[in-house]
Order: sequence, then structure tokens, then C-alpha cells
Amino acid sequence: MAVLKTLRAAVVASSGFLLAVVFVLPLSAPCHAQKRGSAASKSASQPSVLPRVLQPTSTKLLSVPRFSYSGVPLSDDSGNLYFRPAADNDQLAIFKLSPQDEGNSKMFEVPSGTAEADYFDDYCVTPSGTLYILAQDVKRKFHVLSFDSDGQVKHNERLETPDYALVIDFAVFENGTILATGYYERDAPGPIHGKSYAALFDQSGQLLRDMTRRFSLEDASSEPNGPLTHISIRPGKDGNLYLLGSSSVLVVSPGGEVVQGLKFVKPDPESVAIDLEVSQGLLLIELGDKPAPGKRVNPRYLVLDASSGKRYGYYRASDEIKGMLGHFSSKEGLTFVTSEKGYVKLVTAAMN
Amino acid sequence: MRTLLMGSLIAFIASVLLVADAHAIRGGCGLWRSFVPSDCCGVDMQYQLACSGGGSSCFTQIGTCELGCPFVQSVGGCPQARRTPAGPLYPAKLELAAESVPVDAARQGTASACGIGLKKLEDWLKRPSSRVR
Repeated sequence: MAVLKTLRAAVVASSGFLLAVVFVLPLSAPCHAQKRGSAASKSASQPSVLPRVLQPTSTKLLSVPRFSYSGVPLSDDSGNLYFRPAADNDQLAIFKLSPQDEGNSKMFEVPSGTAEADYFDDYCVTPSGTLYILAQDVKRKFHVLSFDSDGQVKHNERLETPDYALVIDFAVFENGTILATGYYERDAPGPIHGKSYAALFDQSGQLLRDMTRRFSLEDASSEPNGPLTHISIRPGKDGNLYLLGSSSVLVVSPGGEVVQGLKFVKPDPESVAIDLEVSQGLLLIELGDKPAPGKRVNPRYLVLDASSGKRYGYYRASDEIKGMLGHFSSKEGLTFVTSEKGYVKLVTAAMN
Repeated sequence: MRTLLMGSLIAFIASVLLVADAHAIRGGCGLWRSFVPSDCCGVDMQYQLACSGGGSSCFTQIGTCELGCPFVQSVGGCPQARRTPAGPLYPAKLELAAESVPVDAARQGTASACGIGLKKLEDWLKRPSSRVR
């Protein structure tokens, strides 16, 4: 009898679990995300949607000589572009290119010998154009540097990260709060070895909140030379940060709350999410083919309404447009950085 | 009855806990890019390159040469890269077009092969006359 009672309890408890899931899920995520989620499961068997081909609507040949740079260019809301120029040493410098007035272009340089800024790690720009550089010192501690309007280092704050934490990506809210994400080093002690790390810091580098449990990053590879997974973090003009996942975008407030979770359906289910841009009500998700030797990325651009997650458009650049996506504007469209006759050329393609 | 209620309650709490921490960010690599296929840096770059390899406290990043081709540059404190005479800037090789680009394997060419962007831009910024064409 006791066994029967236990069995019945287990069956009913399981039903309770299922009911709870059904009722709790819609409360924990936006409605459109659920709809998108169900659509995603259907899309696996659906044929790929072809992207609309973007044609150049304007081009601008600048007087800036073409140059080599690391990583991807960033931009602010005014259309200024930020590059990390390639250097033959560990010079920490970011070049701000102002296409509207090239005379306003400038170099933000960290003078060599600056205390505790020994290695370059990453940089970010807020929508209003404030630049931050993430640097590392010889003791493997991380520092965030900011600049005044003349390009001089204004602040150099050490992040209160735990031992063995390796910051890979960071972004700064307009209010100065810093979000840092990464991993515990591969030579960290057992339990934390290779685990992900995320935290919020105030402007002085003091820890505000450990965010590791708010969202989990893919664990780092345990291989000594294995890949480390980056995530694309971009600031929005609404004061929030947008974090790109493989099929979702998380919106995080300066207080560290996940205020929105937008799921998106990739028109080509085989593609992977590469990068993210945010512009006044629209999100641009750069999709590409899965990396494989002999294959090119073939970038496509999925544009979503930032509040509803509804698809706005799906594009690819025409063969005529070559170069890196440098800026995305909901008004002007996509601006690519390329070169012609030894000079930098910007090619803009409107979405409509 | 009490057992049934307890079972349901426990299951309900468990389900809440399960969804409360459900925000998984499994990032795409932010640095995968498509590069213009051309003979650049002495290497035919028709492949895409993924973002990074990794050491214990550093990783490599893909850059873009003047001609739109990729190169590998170390980021963070990479002692193995800093020891090499060519500096931390290396044109990437075709066979590195895998999901990781180990720094050691990327030691090809010289720093000047891709052009030193920083020096070039500093010179441009110092010469106002060169801005007007």
C-alpha cells in the first residue's frame, strides 16, 4: 500500500512539474520569444530563406590611407569608426576615424610606460562616443582606461577580478558601469578551471555584482591552444547592453538585470551568429557559414525590431561591396569599410 | 493527500529554479569575418579564419591587412609571441583556417608584410596637408 501511495505521489508530482513548467515559462520570457522558440523548432526542416542583396547607395573615398588593423571596427551613434591599428609592438592605441570631418580624426594612445597597462586586450565605445581600453598588467590583472576629449588617459582603474579570471570581452554602459566576461584560466585550480566568468564593476573597478549565474558562457576548451569563445556585447542608446548568443540576444540593464531575452530564428538554420549591432530600435545580427577550412564566412545580416524581435529584413552585401561592416544605422543602413587606390573608402547600403 | 501536495510543491519549486537561471549565452565568435580573396602578404587568403587560439592568459586575434586580408595578432600577455623577432604580428597561413589559430603555428613572415597601420596613421595625423586631396 505504501509503495502504491509513493507511486501515485510521484505520478502526480510529475504532472505538477509539467504544469509548473507550462505556467512559469511564459512568465520568465517575453511572449515573442516563446513564439520564436516554437518557430525555431519548425524551421529546422524548412528550406533556407534567401537574403535580399544590398546595393551601394553611397560611397565616400577618404583621404585616410588604407591601413591594417586588428579585430573588427566599432562605431558610435555619430558614425565615427574606431580601429585598433596593427603595430609591431604592444602599443595600446585606438584610431578614431570621423568620416563627416576627417580633421576630427584622432589617435587615442596609451603612452608606453603607463603604469599597469602592459598588454592590450580589448576596447569598446559607448553610443555617445566614449572610448575605453581593457589592458592587462604583468601580474595578469585587468585595467580599464578611459580618455579625455584630447585623447589623454583620464582614468586607469584596476578591475576587482578574482585570481585566475581571464577577461575576454567587456563593454561599458553609458553610466560608466563595466560588464566583463571571460573564463578562469586553464591553469586555475580544479573546480574553476575553464569555467566562465562575468561580473559588473563600477567606474572605479570595484565589484558591483557577480553575474556568472545570470548567464552562462560556453566553457573554455581545455586544450592549451584550443579556442576561447568570444561573445559580442554592444551598447544600445537605451542605456542597456545587448549580448549575442547563438540564437538569442540578452538585454542587460546597468543594474545587472536581464530585462529582455529575444530569441531569433536564423533564416538559414545552418548559419552561426557572428556579431551584433544596435541602432535605435533595430538589432542587426551578422550570420555566417560555420567555420571550416576552405569555406568563406559569407556574411548575411538579419535585422530585427529590438522591442518585439520581429524580423525587419534579411540581407547580404552585393559582390560589389567588399570589406568589413563598420557601422549600422537604422536610418542610413549598413556602412562597409573598404579601400580604393590606397585610401579608405566607405560604402553605405540602405536597407530599403 | 499531504504527500501529493508536498510532491507537487517540490516539483513546482524545482521547475522555478530550473527556469530562473536559464539564460545561456553560447556565443558566436565575434571575430569571424569574411576576407577578400587576393594574394596578400605573400599568401593566398581564400579561407575564412576563426577568432582565436588561446594560451593561459592570452589569445590571438584576426586582423585585416591593408588589402583586406587577414593576419594574426596576439592579444593580452603572450610571452611566446613577444619573444619572436618579428613581433606579435603575423600573416596567417592557409592551413590555419580551422577553429583556432595557435600563435606558434602562425609565425610566418614579418611584421612589415601587412603594413604597420599605427605608424602610417600617426604620419597622416601629423601632416594636415595630406588630408586634403
